[in-house]
Amino acid sequence: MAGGQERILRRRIRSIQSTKKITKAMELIAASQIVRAQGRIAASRPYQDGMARIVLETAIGDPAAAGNLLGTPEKVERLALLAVAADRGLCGGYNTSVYRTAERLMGRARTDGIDVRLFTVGKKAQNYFRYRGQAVERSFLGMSDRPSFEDARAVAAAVLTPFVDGQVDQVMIVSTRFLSAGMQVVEERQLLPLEDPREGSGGGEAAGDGPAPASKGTDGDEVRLGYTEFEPDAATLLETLAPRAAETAIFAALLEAAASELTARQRAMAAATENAEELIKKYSRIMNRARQDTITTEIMEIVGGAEALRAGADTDEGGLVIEAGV
Amino acid sequence: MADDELLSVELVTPERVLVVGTASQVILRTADGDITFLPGHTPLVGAVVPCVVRVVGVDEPDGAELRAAVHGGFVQVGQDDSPDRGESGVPRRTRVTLLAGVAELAGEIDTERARVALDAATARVAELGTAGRGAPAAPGEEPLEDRELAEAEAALRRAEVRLEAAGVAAGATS
Repeated sequence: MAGGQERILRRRIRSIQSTKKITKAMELIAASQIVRAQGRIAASRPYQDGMARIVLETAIGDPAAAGNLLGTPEKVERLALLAVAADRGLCGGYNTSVYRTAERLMGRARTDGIDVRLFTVGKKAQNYFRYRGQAVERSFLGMSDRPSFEDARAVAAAVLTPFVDGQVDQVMIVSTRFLSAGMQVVEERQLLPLEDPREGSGGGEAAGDGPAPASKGTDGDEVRLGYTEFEPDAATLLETLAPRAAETAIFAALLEAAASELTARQRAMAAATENAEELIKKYSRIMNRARQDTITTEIMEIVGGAEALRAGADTDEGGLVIEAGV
Repeated sequence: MADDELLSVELVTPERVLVVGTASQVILRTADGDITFLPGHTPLVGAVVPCVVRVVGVDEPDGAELRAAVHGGFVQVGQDDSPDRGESGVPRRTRVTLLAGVAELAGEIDTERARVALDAATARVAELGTAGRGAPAAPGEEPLEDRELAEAEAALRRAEVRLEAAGVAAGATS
C-alpha cells in the first residue's frame, strides 16, 4: 500500500528530472545564440547608419522630393501592420506581449475606421491571429530566431508593395526592441512613410537606427546642406531609396526581435530549470518520508508479530519461534 | 602627408562590412553610366546598378585594386565626419559610402556556380524572349511573363557581374 505512493513519487521525480535536463539544454542553447544574435545586430549597424545618412542627405538636398515618402501621413485610411513574434513558444511573455500590442493597435485603428491588413512573422503569431479569426494576409515562418537579409527582403517585398502601389497609406511594425541584454521592449513604429530625418534629433529611427540613436552624426548638417548632386534626381532616388530603407528597418527589427526572443527564452528556461530543481527537492523529501514511514510501519508490524508469536510459543509447542532482532 | 589624396571608402552590406579603409579612387556604375570618384569629389547621392565596383589603391596610394560584385545599391559621397577629423586642422577627407543589399568580393565568388547560373539564365531569357512572340521583351505583354523575364534578366546580369569581377581578379590586374 504505502510502497505504491513511493513508486508514484519516484516516477514523478524522474519525469521532472528529464524535463529539467531539457529546459537546461534549451537555456544553454539560447544563451549561446544570444551572443551570435547580438553580433549580427552589431554587424548590421554600419549599413543602417549609412542608409540613415543617405536618406537624410536626400531629404535635405531636395525638400520637395519627400512627397508622401517622408513624415507622418495626414490621413490614413488603410494600414498595413507587420507583427513580429516567434516561431516557437517556451519563451515567457515574449509572444504574448507582441500580440497584445498588435491587437491594441488594430483595435484603435478599426475604431477610427481604418482598414487594417495584417502580416506576421513567426508561427506563433500566425496561429494566434488565425485562431482568433483575424485574417493574416501573409505570414513568414521558420526564421524568427535567425533572420537573414534574404528573409527580411521577402518580408519587405510583401509588406511594402501595397504601400508602393498606393493600396495602403501607412505601414506599421510591432516588434520587440533589444535595448540591452536586460531590457527588451515591444514597440510600434512606422515603417513607411519613413520618419522624416529632418524632424527632431530622434529622426532616422524609421531608417533602422539601432538602439543608440544618440550616435547619429547630426553635427555635420551645416556641412551637408551644401550642394549635393543626385543621380538620378532626388525625387526618383527617394522613390527607390524609401523601400530599401524600410527593408533595412525590417531587417534591423527582425534581428532585434531574434535577440529578444532568445533572451526571453533563456530567461524562461532558467526559471523553469530552477522550478524543476525545487520540485525535485520537494518530492524527494515527501518520498523519503513516505519510505521512512513504510519502514517504520513494517518494523512495528514485525516486532508486534514476533511478540505475539513468543507469547503464543509458551503454550503452543509446535509454533514457530522468531527471534525478534533488535 | 598625401592625406588629402585619399578617399575613405566603405562597402557595406546589411550583414557585414566588406571593405573599410582608404583608397585613391573608386569606380562604379550608376544608371547614368560609369563614375570615378577621386578625392575632393562633390557630395553626391546616387543609385548604383549591378556592376563591378573597383576600389583602386586600397590603403596606400599605389596599393592593390580591389574588385567586388555589387548587385545594386546606393552610393553616398560626402565628408568623413568621424570624430578624429575636422578638428585641430586635420582636413576632412572625402568619404565614399557604398551600401549594397548583396555584394561579394572578387575572391569570394564561386565562379563555377556563377557560370552555371549564367547558362541557366541565358537559356531562360532566350526561352521567355521567344516564347510565342517575335520580339524579345516586347512591352505590353502579359505581366507574369514579363516579370519572369525581368527576373531571368536580373539573374543573368548578376551572374555576368560575378564572373566579370572574379574573372578579372583571376587574371592580371589591368
